[in-house]
Amino acid sequence: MSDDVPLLEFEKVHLVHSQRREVTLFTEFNWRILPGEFWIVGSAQGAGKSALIESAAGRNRPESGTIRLFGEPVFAESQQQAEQVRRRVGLVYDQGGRVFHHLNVAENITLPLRYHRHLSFEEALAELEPLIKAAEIERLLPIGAGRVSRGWAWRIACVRALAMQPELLLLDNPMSGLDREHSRWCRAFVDQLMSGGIGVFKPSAAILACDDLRPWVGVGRQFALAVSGHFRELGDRRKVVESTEPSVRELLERDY
Amino acid sequence: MPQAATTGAPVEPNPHSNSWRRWILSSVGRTVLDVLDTGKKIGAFALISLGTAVTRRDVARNVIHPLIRKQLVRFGVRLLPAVAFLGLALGFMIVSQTVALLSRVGATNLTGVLMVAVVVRELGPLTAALIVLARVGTATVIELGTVRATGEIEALEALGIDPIHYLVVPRLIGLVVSVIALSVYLIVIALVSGYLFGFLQNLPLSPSEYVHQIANALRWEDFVLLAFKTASFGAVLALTICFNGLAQPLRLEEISHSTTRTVAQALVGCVLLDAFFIVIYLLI
Repeated sequence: MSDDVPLLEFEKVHLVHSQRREVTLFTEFNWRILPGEFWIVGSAQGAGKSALIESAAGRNRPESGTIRLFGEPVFAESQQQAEQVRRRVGLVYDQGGRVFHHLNVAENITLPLRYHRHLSFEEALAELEPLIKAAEIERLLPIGAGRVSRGWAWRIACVRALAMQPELLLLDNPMSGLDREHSRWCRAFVDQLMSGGIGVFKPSAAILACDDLRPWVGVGRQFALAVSGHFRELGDRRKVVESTEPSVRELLERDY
Repeated sequence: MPQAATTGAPVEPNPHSNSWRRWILSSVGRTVLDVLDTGKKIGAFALISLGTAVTRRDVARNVIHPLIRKQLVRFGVRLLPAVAFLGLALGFMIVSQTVALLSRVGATNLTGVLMVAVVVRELGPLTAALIVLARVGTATVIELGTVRATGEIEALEALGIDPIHYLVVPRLIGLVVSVIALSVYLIVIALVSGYLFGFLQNLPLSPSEYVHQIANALRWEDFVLLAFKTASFGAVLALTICFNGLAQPLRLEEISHSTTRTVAQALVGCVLLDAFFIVIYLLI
């Protein structure tokens, strides 16, 4: 895909809550994500981060407007075409990443490769080796995913989302519920992934939604703000740090 | 005396009995509408599941086939001891209740016919389906309900994996095949144990006569209808279990309610199907 074609494009999108459709989250907004970009979207809790990320993954249909993934309107496509598109997008949910509790860790992370590329279990594990090492989950592989802590579960979900080598990575509030050690690892992992990649795993672009901008100011390249029903691009790192806007300062100077 | 009675005008209906009647009518109406609505939803879910099973039969076989084998072990192989026990009990019960009566009227030559009518056509398939529902059906609703409530369905979809293909199709195939196999297993054990109990009761019937009676009582329609009936029971179980576990938004605290609802729906579904097959037996 050429560099000037957006990986993701929101055009006059009116976004509502995925389950309570009467709740408006963001009124008509436009947004383009180009290859090489790494967006950090700051937003208060409950302002619609997850809905925004889900709509970016082609999972939350907007009330009006168009969402294009890789140049194609994602909600206009058939279910099978939508699934094809979703394979090019990696989505990591918050609060432990929603790992599959009925599978062990190895089965969790190899599932996408076994399902879509028909690899054997051993082939899939071999292909994921760089990610497994980076996530430090070798010793957890035979353990049931329901038995690991939230921090480790998030790492597993991250490896699982990256397994298909997605071009666009979406991270929904990654540090939510993580302890200090896992949070530090999470930041370093995302930084490494988006700067040089891990082996063959290097997404072209990423969007990270969070309710605390502080850990991500030094990592992200582009920043946006989603508050009070409005989505607004802020610009680069310098503009965020120098911003005097109260809602930005609040996300930069949160006191827990 | 009420004025209406003296003037000859129609007496006003008793407001109490009127509201009572209205309440009964509205309750019955609401229940009927709820049942129809649930039936419609499960029907739509059945069509989607069957469509997925057919259109994706060649997709991800390396993942789906082991899952089907796993479900066959879970729904079928692991239930063999329970089914064997109930088959033995069923054979004993039927023969113990009927042999004395048949002997009294000199109709022991009808023992095989009776076993075919009761075990093969009626109790065998229904008992096998109910064992599956009780032993693994409820556990499966809880398992799927937890998957739904913890957002794992969305995680599957985010990976481009169709949840119906990954979670429902293996269970549908596993349950249909398991109920067919367990019914046959239960019927064979009940027929054998029935004879053994008759033998202990000094039933004047040799094994060869018993087998001969059963063979004569069985018609080709019995085999065809047994296959259809047991497959239908398996499908009803699978669809109600998967529908209540997966097909609607669910919170963790709602899973127990969903489980009891599944048992009621599956039971009603199996009994209605049984009634339908009784009519078929009577017609042919």
